[in-house]
Formats: sequence, C-alpha cells, structure tokens
Amino acid sequence: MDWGAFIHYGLVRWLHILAGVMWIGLLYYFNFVQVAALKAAQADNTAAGISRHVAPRALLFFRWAAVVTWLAGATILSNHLFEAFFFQQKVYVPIGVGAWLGTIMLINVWALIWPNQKKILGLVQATDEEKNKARRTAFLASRTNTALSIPMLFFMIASGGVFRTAFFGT
Amino acid sequence: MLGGGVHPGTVKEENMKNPLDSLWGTIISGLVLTLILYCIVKLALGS
Repeated sequence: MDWGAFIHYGLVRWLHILAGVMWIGLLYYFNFVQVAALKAAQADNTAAGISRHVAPRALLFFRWAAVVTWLAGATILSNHLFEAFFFQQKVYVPIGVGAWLGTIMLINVWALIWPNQKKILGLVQATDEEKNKARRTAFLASRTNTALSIPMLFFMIASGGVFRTAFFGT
Repeated sequence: MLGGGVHPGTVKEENMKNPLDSLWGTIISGLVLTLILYCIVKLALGS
C-alpha cells in the first residue's frame, strides 16, 4: 500500500471535504437561517440569545473550517498549486478556477466578515455608527461568499475524473 | 424628456437594488456567474 498517496489523496481529501461541508454549511446557516431569524427575534426582543450564544460559536467553527479547508485543498494540489492558480496546464484550469474562488472566499471571511462581526457582537469596541457600517459590510461579504460558493462548488466537482469529462470533455 | 424629467435610457439610481440583498438575488447571481465562468473555461480548454 502506498501510504503517501493514501494520506495525500485519501485522508487529506476527506479532511478537505469535511471542513468544507462545515464552512459552507455554516455560511448557508448564516444566510438562509440566521439573517431572517435575527430580524424576527429583534421584533420580539429575543435576539440577544442568538447574538450571545449562537453566533460566536458558529463564527468560531466557520472561520477555522475555512482555514482547514483551504490548507487541505492546497495540500492536495501540493506541487501543482502554482500550475492550478496560474492556469499553466489545461487539465488544472477547472480546479484553478475553484481554487481562486475558494481563496477569495477565505480572504472575505478573515478580512471582512470576522473583523466586522467582532464589532457587531461587541467583542471589540465600536460606536453605534461603526456597528451599523460593520453590519452592512459583513452582510454583503457573507452574501458575496454565498454567491461565489455556487460556482466554487461547481468547479470543485467538475475538476476531476468522469466529472471533468462530462462537463468539459477533456 | 420623458418620465418626469428623466432622460430616456437613464436609470434612476434609487430604483436599482443590490441583488445580494435578497436570497434569490444571491442564488441567481451565483448561477449566472457559474454559467459565465463555465463558458470561459470551456472556451479556454477548446472543448
């Protein structure tokens, strides 16, 4: 048995998918459930429970799952990372597009969503005006990631084996 | 001049909505982007 290949293409790929499910699952939870739930909860003064107990925990797993997903993905590509990111070989173009989308999403999480959520949740000092601005920025960044997740998942699926043949004929 | 002083072909900014404000707008934006990228990649691969 080739243990190197087993770890590289088996276990790391498994980890990539597990972490990816957690990342995108929580992203969809925020966008499909929590945004509407918070609006309804604010109307009957029960939003504090979500903001204090649910959102911080969800964000913890969300942002670290994003890092694990990206690192595992980069490990799978390993010495083909450069070829994929810079579309140097045709065979790596679909996964390269997926990798770029995933990278943009990771940057969105750590540069826009998390710093602004810290202000919204009161984990860092912010005025009411700053909180309102942070709310809008975090919301749009999160919605952008939801939109980007659709082509990202398509290109992840369409990048290998029979799926690539089916979608791209190569 | 038509429409209360708005030049024909001019879109009033206040009428434009960000598609990301709604869930359906977000999903449709994602699907459109998928289609565009798919066509570009297919063209790049010559398939």
